[in-house]
Amino acid sequence: MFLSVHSTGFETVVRAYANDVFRYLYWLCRDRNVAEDLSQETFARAWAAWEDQRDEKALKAWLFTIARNEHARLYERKRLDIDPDAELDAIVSHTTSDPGMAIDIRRAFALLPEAYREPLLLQVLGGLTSAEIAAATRSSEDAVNMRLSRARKSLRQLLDGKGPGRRNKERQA
Amino acid sequence: MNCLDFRRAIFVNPRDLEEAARAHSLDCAACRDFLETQREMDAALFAALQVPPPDGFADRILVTRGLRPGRRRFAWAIAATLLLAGGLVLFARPWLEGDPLGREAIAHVVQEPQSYTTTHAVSNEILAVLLADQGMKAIRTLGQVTYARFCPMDGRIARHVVVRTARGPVTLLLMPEDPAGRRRSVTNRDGMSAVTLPLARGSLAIVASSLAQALEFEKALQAA
Repeated sequence: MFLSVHSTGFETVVRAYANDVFRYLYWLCRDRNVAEDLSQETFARAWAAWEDQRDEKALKAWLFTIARNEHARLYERKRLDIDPDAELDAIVSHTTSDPGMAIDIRRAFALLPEAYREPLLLQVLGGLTSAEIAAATRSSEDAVNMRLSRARKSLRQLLDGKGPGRRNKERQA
Repeated sequence: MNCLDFRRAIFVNPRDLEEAARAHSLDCAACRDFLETQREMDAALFAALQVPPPDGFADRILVTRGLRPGRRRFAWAIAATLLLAGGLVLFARPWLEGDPLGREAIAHVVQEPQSYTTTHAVSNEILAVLLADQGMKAIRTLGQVTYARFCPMDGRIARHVVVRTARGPVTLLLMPEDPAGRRRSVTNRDGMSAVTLPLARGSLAIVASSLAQALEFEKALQAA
């Protein structure tokens, strides 16, 4: 009975977060196969430690922390060769209605330094708070806030005239 | 809170405003616009980051790790289905994707969109240079030729011709240097269809927006 309840809870978590974890890892390594393998490892580790996990509210942050560590572990073993344009044009987004804009944003996002990209991913994609991002990245909340701020500023500069902000600029002009 | 502090806070998190920031946005139209722009930017970023995960990804994680006690039979069924699907894809792939020449021909047409937008007729002199030695003079009887170029294609030179027929433009890629011994083949991808044929010298690919159109052109070409 315990095992059944125990595993049902885990299954719910896998179904709820597997895709988000995959996307987070994809944007860290920019390789679908590596992202899939790392996601599998993430959930294997999560399952191994599932019994000790009590804080339901922190589940998502916990999973993203494991995913980040798995990526870092791989990165320690070998330096990933990231082609800045790899797959960026080929991926078709499910939710965007403007593929051209999505490509511009992905290109601009890929140009951000990793230190800026990562907290922005965790916040925008993972929905983590600054405190959770600080815990996951082993840094202070102030440092996370500074990186988030710089990430958004850089993104706006890179997208100036192309992004969704154009509408407001046109309105003001 | 002043405008500078407000914008700093927005750059940190445009979704989660403190009470002071919310109050400032009500009083300051410029900052309200700034907030709206940043929220739009975040929404666009969120949408752009939505790469499609592998099909049935959660199921695969659960099955691979054997994490579905009490549902093992179902897990085995999923695993068997995945294995079967994988096998089918592996064995049926060449058939589904057609032959390499057809895929190359479609990729070439996709990469040269200007070949479809040009509408003026190609002169007979150019066509004579391009097609005479291929015995393809009859192409002119099938429609107006609006594009004719020598194009590099996979290390060979192809003669790229677009003929405007009553059913729309059809592309011909003539490759006299293509090795003999190709078999007739049909390829469908990227919303286009290609019929590839062996010629007395080299090969020919007929590319159209539908298989019916490509087959109809093939028939007309043989009759001409």
